[in-house]
Amino acid sequence: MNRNLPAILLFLLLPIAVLSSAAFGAADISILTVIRAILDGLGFIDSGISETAKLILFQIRFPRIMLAAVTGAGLATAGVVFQAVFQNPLAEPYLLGISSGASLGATVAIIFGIEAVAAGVGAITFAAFLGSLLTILLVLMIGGRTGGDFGSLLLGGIAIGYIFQAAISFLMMLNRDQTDRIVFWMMGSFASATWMKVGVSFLVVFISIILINMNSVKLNIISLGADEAHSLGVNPERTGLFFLAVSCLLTAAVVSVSGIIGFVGLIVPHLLRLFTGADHRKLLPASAAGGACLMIIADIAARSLMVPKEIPVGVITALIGGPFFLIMLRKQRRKSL
Amino acid sequence: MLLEIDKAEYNYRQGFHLHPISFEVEPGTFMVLLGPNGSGKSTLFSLINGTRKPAAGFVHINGREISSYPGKQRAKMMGMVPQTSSINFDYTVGELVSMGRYPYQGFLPYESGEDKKIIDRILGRLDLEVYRDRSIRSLSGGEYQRVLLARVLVQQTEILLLDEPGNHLDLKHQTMLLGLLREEVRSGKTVVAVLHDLNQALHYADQGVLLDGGRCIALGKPCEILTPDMIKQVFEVTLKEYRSDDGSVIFGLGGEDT
Repeated sequence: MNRNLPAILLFLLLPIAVLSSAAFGAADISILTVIRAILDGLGFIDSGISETAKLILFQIRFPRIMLAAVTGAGLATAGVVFQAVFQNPLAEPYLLGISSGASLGATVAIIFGIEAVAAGVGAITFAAFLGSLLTILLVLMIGGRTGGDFGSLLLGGIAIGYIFQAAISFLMMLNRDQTDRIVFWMMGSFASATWMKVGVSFLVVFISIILINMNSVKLNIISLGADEAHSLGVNPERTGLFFLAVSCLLTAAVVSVSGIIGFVGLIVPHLLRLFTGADHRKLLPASAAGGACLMIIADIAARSLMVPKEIPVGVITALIGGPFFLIMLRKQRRKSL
Repeated sequence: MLLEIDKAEYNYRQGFHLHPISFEVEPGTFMVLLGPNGSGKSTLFSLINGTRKPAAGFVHINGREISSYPGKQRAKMMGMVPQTSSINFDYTVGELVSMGRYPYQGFLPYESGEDKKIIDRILGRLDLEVYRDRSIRSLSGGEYQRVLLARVLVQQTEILLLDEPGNHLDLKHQTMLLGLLREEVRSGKTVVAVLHDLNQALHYADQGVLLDGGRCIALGKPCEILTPDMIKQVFEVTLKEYRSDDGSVIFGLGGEDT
């Protein structure tokens, strides 16, 4: 099988997922109507679709779908990067505490009203980025001190994740008026999507993904370990730090608008490696597309499983991803025995 | 390409000290690093490959400090086969070997036609063509070592560094590997290898450094530095010296304490 095929197929699947998701929901709008509305919106036809339906599609459903796609692509790509840099297929922004760090940063920004000073969503994203970067440095310091093996890195990440979530709860308790907004970060959801949020996160995620894909060969090489990377002409520390910084930015951009959504960075790359192999030149584009598709589908499930209630999408990914992680952990342990 | 080690030394926080050591390795030389466990071989090896910087002194390639070369440029001059390599990802043999061409690649992350030709030639030379699409995790220790060797040959460096290359290999593959390295040396390349087997050192190497307790205690042709007395002093075993018809020496069991 051609190992570029998965990426191509997933990119083809993406518009189908978008259209199907747009047709899902309380207001009855068929896929055909969705397509006609898009053509109408672009000025090609005069569809005669009601303004209400257009409003639902363009102001509610599409921003939400786009946010899901951007989030999925970002988290899956960040997952691939963390796995290569830490040389372990179990690494993931959520498990390493990066998402919690980003979320703490965003919480602090909201509570101190920094968003009012700077450019709206941008300031929260920046605070989330600082939070995630501090977390990864903290995790590296702790993991490095105790010998640098992946187990201590993971445990460090999980512990830091707990501490940060406790800090968020504490801040929430002190600022009850902001509780609703903060709770949303801890659960993960696309319900509050706006074009503004989509725009900012898309820009950051798109640029980060391009940067990472341009350097995909370096990711192959540092996944071999520091000494081998060095002898092949790649500085493992500097390159690793570059990748971690870019993927922290990626995680932060996503977390600041969608909240904590775990395990996407774990499931998507793992499944796709079965088809693309380990070569990051093929795995990265496939993961971006696959993450976007998966997130759109998970969001459909979030909206439609308990109508009229909505399940936070972070709950759905954790319910699927948690057991998935345990199975992988068991497999990896067996291999190393 | 001249490799110079000039009064290089290194200290570990735990107290181990590699005392200043100096030697040169001329092109077309097979240099072996010898010594018991904990003698400083691995430290010296890491100073030479540049993963550690000497606390004092220098390691030079062509008269220039090794760390002053940009990474890719250094990787075109010097390649390494690590002692152990535990890769957690399912690369194919072809993918892993082609990573040896990384130093030659420009902006686009793909192999050129010339890269592919070189990869094909080396895979053929090491009988690895049939393994090209196999996962590296399905290989035996010996096959894997050959793949790592293929990667370093694909890198086309003048200097080859090997850390206990025969470690996981059976006798046939060890002989094949060392024969291959000998061929490389004949074509003008420099090989620096850590070896445990003294007879292999005698047979294949041109020059040797014997380390003990972090000090270089002998430097020269392996047949000159590996005397029964020296072996007894450094390795704390008594080996018996056998002389073959052509005058070359083989050490074997049968000394006083074996």
